[in-house]
Amino acid sequence: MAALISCQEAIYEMQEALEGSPSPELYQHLCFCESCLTLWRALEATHSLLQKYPQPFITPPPALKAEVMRASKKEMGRRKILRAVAAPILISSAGAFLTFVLYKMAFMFWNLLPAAGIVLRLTLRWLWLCKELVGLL
Amino acid sequence: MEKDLSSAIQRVLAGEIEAFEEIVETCQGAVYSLALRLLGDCEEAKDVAQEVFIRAFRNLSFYNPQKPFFRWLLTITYNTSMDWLRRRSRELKAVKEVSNLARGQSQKHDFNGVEVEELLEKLEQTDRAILILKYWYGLTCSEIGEIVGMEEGAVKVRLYRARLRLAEELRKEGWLL
Repeated sequence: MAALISCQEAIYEMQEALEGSPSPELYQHLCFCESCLTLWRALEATHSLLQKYPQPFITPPPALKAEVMRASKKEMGRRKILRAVAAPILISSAGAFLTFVLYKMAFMFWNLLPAAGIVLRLTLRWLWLCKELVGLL
Repeated sequence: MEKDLSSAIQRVLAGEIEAFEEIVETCQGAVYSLALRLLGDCEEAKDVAQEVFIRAFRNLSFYNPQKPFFRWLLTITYNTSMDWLRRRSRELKAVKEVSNLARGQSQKHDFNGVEVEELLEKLEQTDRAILILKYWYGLTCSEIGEIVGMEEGAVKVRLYRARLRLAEELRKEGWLL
């Protein structure tokens, strides 16, 4: 005879059994375990009860649809206004900000020009020296 | 269970608001029923249902068409109902008397749907929602988990405990030995 499953395994099997059919292992366990049998009866009773009395959808009050549509139309109108007013404001704000940033960058770049020139000259001189050294070698 | 609403959704996204009426017409029963069963009050359920559809309308562009629209709507319904309950800051317990159950004690009669509803109201909201979605909306544990924000395993555990809790209520009323 196969070993009995534990009570914990039996509880798992009970839940699976409610969705389908009880396994032989569960039946075997229930023959020997009074507490699990009581548990199984309780689960079966509630499962059967809930399946026997499926509740239909409750008809909502007629005003619900009308109020939802009214609120949706109001929401749609609000979005159109936002698009018409907010979009030009956002675009012009973004443009103003970009202009300011470019102006600042140009100003910084102009101040850095002399230093950039010095760095460029030094780099070219270094490259010329390297070329001469390579040539000598 | 789900009517194909994909064309209505596309039309709403294109700006045709009248198409949203088709969505409301199809889904309002399911949304209102779930809200009512979670909140237990008709006026609040109507307000919540309205809020659900407004939220759905606002966020329709974020809806993933790969997933069922009905389930997405039920998720919003569940979350909105829970928010509503938190705002009320009290748990809704069963308000109805058990006398309807007690009246059957002296004479034999079958359990009926009203009594099942009354028993369910004694459960905690999440457990109630899981049982309702499982048995009356026909969803799997994985689908329920997506709606209530839990892993499938956690839903199974809650389902098991909810069934036991319901059995306990049945035992108290004398319907179970």
